[in-house]
Amino acid sequence: MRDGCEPEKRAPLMNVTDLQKKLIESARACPPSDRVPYAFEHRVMAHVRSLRQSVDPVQIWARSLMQAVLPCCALLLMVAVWSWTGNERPDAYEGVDELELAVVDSIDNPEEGW
Amino acid sequence: MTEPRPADALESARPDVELITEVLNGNVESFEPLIQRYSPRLFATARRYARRETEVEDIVQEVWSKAFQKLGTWRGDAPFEHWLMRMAVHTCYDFLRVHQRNREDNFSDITREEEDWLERFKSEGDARQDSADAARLLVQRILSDMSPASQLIITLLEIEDKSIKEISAITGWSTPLVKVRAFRARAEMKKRLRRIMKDKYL
Repeated sequence: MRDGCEPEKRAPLMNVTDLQKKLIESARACPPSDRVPYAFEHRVMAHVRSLRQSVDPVQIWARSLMQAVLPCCALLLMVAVWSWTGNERPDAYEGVDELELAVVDSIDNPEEGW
Repeated sequence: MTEPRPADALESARPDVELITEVLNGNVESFEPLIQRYSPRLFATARRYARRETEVEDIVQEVWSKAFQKLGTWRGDAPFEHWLMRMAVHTCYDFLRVHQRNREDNFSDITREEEDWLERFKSEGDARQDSADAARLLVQRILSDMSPASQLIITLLEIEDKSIKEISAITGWSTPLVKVRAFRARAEMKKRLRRIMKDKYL
């Protein structure tokens, strides 16, 4: 019940939370276009080809090093296996005594040395 | 528009893995079907962050350039599209950081349509969907005056409706950091809206 004069008709107070919600809902409902400009893929491919042509020497060096890792590891393994198994042979020690004798003899008689 | 040639149709039907392996083996031409396949999504994403069409094109080209250079780092355990979209979001974020505008904009350059939208909302408490485009531009204008991190969070969380976990995976930020930034971004947006209202209606 109202008495006397009508209160001044005012616009509802702006609710910022509601406004934010409404704006986001509208933005969601209206996604941007996914149109691709004409011949865009040709432009990108030209750029990509130019990237490929401009060779970076450091990159080439790094790539070569990386490629060399596997053969080097394989060579290391082969040498390790060979040194373990190869030294197992008893005749491998034959020359050691003679070498030791020659070295010790040269120390004992320095005037007879070279 | 020209009709796609049968060879092109065949190329575009090939799986991503096959095309990427060929590119990595030195056949650069196999990169083109990937560009044709994913450019529409990249353009839609870039248009959320940049307003000028030349800027949008530059962003998408930058994404493809990065994708080509880092193609060897794609492990194949996740779809190529996800890897590419993550790269796109990072490129857009870099763009926002480089092109940070003066954030003291007084919103005097609001267009007639945007003003009408606000007026309708003010008087009716609602706004018609047919003017959604004006609302979208208004949101973009408000976001462009916010910090790059806030723009990114609002776009991903509120407009693209991604979860905190997804945003964390895309941006590389921790989950608590995403939550804190989301809280700050919402507050920042409200502050900007209050300022518009104050400038326009008080």
